[in-house]
Amino acid sequence: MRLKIKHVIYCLFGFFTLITFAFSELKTTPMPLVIPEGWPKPVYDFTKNPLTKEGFELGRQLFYDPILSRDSTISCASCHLQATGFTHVDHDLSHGIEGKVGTRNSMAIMNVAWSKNFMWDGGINHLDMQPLAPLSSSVEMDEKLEHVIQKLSAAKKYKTLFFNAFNDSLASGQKMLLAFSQFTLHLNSYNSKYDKYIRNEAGGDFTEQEKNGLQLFRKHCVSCHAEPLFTNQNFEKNGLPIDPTLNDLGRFAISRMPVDSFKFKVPTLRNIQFTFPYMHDGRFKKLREVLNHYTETDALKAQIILSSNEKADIIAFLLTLTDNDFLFDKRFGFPRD
Amino acid sequence: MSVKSRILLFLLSFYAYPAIAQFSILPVFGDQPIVENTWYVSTKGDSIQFDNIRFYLSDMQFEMDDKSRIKDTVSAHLIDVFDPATLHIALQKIDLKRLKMIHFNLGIDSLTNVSGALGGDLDPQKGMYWAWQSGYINLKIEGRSPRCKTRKNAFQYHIGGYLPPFYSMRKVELPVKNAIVNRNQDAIRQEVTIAVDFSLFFGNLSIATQNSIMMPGKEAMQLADYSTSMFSIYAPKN
Repeated sequence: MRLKIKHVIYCLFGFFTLITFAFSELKTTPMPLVIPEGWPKPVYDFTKNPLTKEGFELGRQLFYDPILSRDSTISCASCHLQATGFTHVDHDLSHGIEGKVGTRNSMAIMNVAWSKNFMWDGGINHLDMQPLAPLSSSVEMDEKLEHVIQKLSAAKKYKTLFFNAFNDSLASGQKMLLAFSQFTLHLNSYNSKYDKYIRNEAGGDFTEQEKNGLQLFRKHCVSCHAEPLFTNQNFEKNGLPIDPTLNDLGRFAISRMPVDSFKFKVPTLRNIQFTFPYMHDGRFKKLREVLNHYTETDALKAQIILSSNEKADIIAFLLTLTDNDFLFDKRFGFPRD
Repeated sequence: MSVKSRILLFLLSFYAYPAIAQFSILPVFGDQPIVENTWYVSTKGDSIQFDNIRFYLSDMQFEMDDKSRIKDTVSAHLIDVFDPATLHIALQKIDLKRLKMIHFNLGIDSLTNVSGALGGDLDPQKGMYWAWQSGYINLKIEGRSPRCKTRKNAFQYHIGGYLPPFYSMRKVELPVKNAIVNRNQDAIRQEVTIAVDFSLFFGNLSIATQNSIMMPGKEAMQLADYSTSMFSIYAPKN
């Protein structure tokens, strides 16, 4: 009888210990987004994907890992390099797997928490879904999500990373996409000379030329490139003649509305010093060429008239949007273990 | 699935359900069941073979005789005609004798389409999500017909799109009459079977000209309209 009671007690003890372990979850470390003072409310819904240090780390590993491509040659960083504002510098059209060339210039990745949609045509409706496009494009990574998940599930490294981030070592499409967002959401640029000028901080002293450039910018450019994100997030027709080798109709491909023909997403101008070449097809190598286009075209609502000196001033101002803290932030770089 | 929910499921499995209402999907072509590597002939005289048929049933609601509605706890079910495991949906206790109407959406609603990365049957790894233009594919039908002068005589219909004016999700309502509720003799399991007759879809279509529709638009809207007619409550013939 005694023995039986002992057995029961041991069994109960064992049962409760098991239950306690089953319900204990691995702790993640919150890593909330920095929202600079005076900026609008982010579009991204963080309640559905609370940012953690572990999620960020998984996203970062994925971002730099060519395992995402069919032949393990192309990672996100192939076309989105940190030092150039996370875009593909010096290629008018970005290239991917086996040197295949796409139809557009890769976009810079920064301040994505404020973006309603993604890509030059806005075809992607949510940050989480953005990685699917390059992943499955036949000229970029040419992979299938299902296969990527298989590869990740088989890799010991990712079992640990997924477990740390999601308390579950099994990879899934959802978890991979959420982790990507965790990383890219933190790629925020808000410490340029311009930002310091606005915040009256040390290092934010504008020269006369830069001040004049800002004034001209606010007069002629700001309706599309609205501060502080330097984009109004809309699709606009900026008067570029169509390239007959591409016949890219922009937003029309998504909305199927004739009014959207030749409209493209207004890109941010932050770190523009390093994100050349410019425009959706990378047709301009220099900022001066961009300004020349805007003063020559008659497709804008109001003609922009600028003297050569004024153009120089605007360019001087645009260079104040360079944010070296962002471009060289070690947290965003290639993960070296 | 998290460790927590696995343990919970494990514990729950010790409890026996009193009665499980089960909904089965019966894919047919006219009066024949749909199986792989089999030729079917449409009412238009087209020979057709299927390789892949998958679709989403979402927001299922069960209207009872007092007009009350019981909502499905799972927001969307991905049905794969060639994966028998997906053809049976077990639901929480529903008294089938009192069931008057089944409501569901064929496809995924616009809110879900803009909600970011989701899990379960809505995980994009299920292959029912467009990459180049965000959005779920509501219905995928792929196969072959000698009538299609395409590579390998293939036809492919990927019907989706959530942005107006090409919002391709469709609401379906199926009245359930007492007489046609198919009850198992042992009364442990009660069943309602929803027949999906693909001959009705192909009876509307000229596959010689319409054989590759893979993006949102007018044609997808038209096919979405055809697709709702396929659903009915199956009445056994005994």
